[in-house]
Amino acid sequence: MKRRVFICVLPAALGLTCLVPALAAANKSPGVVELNVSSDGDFLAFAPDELTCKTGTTIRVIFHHAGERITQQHNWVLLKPDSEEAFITASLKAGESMGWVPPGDKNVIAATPLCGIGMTAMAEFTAPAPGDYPFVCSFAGHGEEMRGMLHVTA
Amino acid sequence: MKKLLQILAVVTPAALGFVASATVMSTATPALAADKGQDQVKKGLRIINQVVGHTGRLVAGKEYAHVAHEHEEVLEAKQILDESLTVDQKTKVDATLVKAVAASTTLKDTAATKDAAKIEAAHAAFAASVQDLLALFPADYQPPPPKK
Repeated sequence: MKRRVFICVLPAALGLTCLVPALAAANKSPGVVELNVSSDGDFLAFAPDELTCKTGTTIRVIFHHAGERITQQHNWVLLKPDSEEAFITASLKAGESMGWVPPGDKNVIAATPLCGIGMTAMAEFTAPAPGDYPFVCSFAGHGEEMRGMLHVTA
Repeated sequence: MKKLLQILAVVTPAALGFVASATVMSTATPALAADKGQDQVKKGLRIINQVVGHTGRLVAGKEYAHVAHEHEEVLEAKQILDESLTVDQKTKVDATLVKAVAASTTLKDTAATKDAAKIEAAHAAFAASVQDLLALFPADYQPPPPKK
């Protein structure tokens, strides 16, 4: 069995969510497709804000906080289609102590932990059925602007 | 003499090349710096505008504890603008920028009271002051609308 050296955060709550050591990129596993996404510098946006993958693939999203001067934290949360508004409401209720991700929220497919400036985190999951899946930053007040779409193809 | 000519044959083109490169660099660098400065101005305006949206959502959600941190972003945006505005721009916008920062300070202080009506009023005043600031810049400096 292969050993993967990750520091896992909230594994029970988020299943496959892990912090990435700097060497994660070098720790590529066969059959795992890596998708890289970051915050758009200091702005409330993702870059890129569109990602694509094939259904059934094991996906490792590597999220990087690319801010330079603004210290707000960000994360990357993949949601079921059309669940953004319900999730954002629930994430506010969950609050900061839960990292703005409600534990056991059925709308959440995958999520990274919150990252500060320069930090990188990852989430690993199996790409769901074909369709368009929104992703957001769940930090309070970010989700309305900081969002994108994962296109899952057949 | 022959040796001197040989040396000159090698050194002269190199020297001319160096001078030409230096000339191109010295004329291009200020233009590049000016472009970068204006990109920073746009960045500062976009940050301060995104704080208006963000604080609006925090106020609507009664997440007052995070409003104070947003004020730090306004200060950061002001610093970016102070570092990047040209002298002419600074003359034109400085008083309005100072008013916007003061309105953000008021919002931060009011948020600590947890008085919803006062906080909403303070946010409206902050938003208006940022609109006044943005109105002083041309269209290509205006922040993009939030993605929905």
